[in-house]
Amino acid sequence: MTPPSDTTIAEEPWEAGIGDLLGALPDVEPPSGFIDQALDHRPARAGRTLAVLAAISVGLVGLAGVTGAADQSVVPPVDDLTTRHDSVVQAGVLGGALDGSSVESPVALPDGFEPAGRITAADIQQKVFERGGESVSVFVQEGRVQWSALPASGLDEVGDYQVWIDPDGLAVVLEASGQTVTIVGLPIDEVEGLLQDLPQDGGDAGPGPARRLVEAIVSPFGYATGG
Amino acid sequence: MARSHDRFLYTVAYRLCGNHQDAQDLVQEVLLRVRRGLHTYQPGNLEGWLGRITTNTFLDGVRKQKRRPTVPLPDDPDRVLAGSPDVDAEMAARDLPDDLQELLMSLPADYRVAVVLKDVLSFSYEEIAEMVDVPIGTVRSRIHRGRGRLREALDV
Repeated sequence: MTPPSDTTIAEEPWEAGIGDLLGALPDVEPPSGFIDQALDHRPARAGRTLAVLAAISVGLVGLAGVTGAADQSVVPPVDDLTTRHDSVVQAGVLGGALDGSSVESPVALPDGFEPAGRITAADIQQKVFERGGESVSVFVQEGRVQWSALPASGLDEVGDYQVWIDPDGLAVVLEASGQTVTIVGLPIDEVEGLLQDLPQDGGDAGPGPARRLVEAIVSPFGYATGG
Repeated sequence: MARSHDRFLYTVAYRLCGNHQDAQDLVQEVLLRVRRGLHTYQPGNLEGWLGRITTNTFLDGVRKQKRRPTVPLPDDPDRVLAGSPDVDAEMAARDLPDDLQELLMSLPADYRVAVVLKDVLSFSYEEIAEMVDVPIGTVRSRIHRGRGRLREALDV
């Protein structure tokens, strides 16, 4: 049974009036410098605390597409990544030789692809997936794509996404959760399907309240959420 | 006008607590729990995770508040009551933000959290249900009852 959602929950007419009154309540201005003071409430062992905060910052950047103040952007070395993919396939290290457990793709691949393994080199993760005799590599780099550094002829927009597609259809570059994702080896006739299936966030509507609350909590640490 | 992050966070705390001292304590506690809790974070839904920490901290803080006097039902004959021919004018003439804040504080904590999250902050029923970890039906009931009590107190 489908649980009720906002679109199906009926409210009595008078409730809208109360809701409107509450919704019109003004923001409350915090005392000047309050957030800074709140962050200054740290244990006496400042050195350890700073190390913890540094670890937290790394975790935030890595896990949730939260970018640091420097807002790193990267250029995917598409030719090198294509060579890496070909090398793995030709070396025959697939077919169960790699540990595919806990390997997940940041974007949904077409049906049938199963994780075959993961290789990390030059700070770029290569996640390999197999389907029958076919192999796809999903390369993941921390940081957002520096689109201006990629050949303009391959740039395109699909829904809410900026993407770059290799002229020969051998590689696709996109962003997911603040990471640069390069997909190599996907059959060209399945590339469009993959792009069409990307989740659309309705970006024109602006961040919802949940994301705004997240931003409010992480921003004192000097971060902003992606998107 | 876009809200600044600190103002938004503080508004959430203040609307739930009703006074500046408790709101400041609450914001500090939220930031502290986020710092401490990151080691438990499982990659996936950061917003849901942080929303849950925030809501749980708010709920804990709200429940620890000293019991506040409930807003008395209007019994002052000089007070303008419902039945006034121009309810809109009556409402506009009152110091509505302070009145509403007082009335919010008179609600039970669970009702107050649900109403604030829904009507002040515009979270969806699903988001509130996930954050408070109760079924959507329970969220709906709390919001309905909370709004009902406000309506009675406002005599609208």
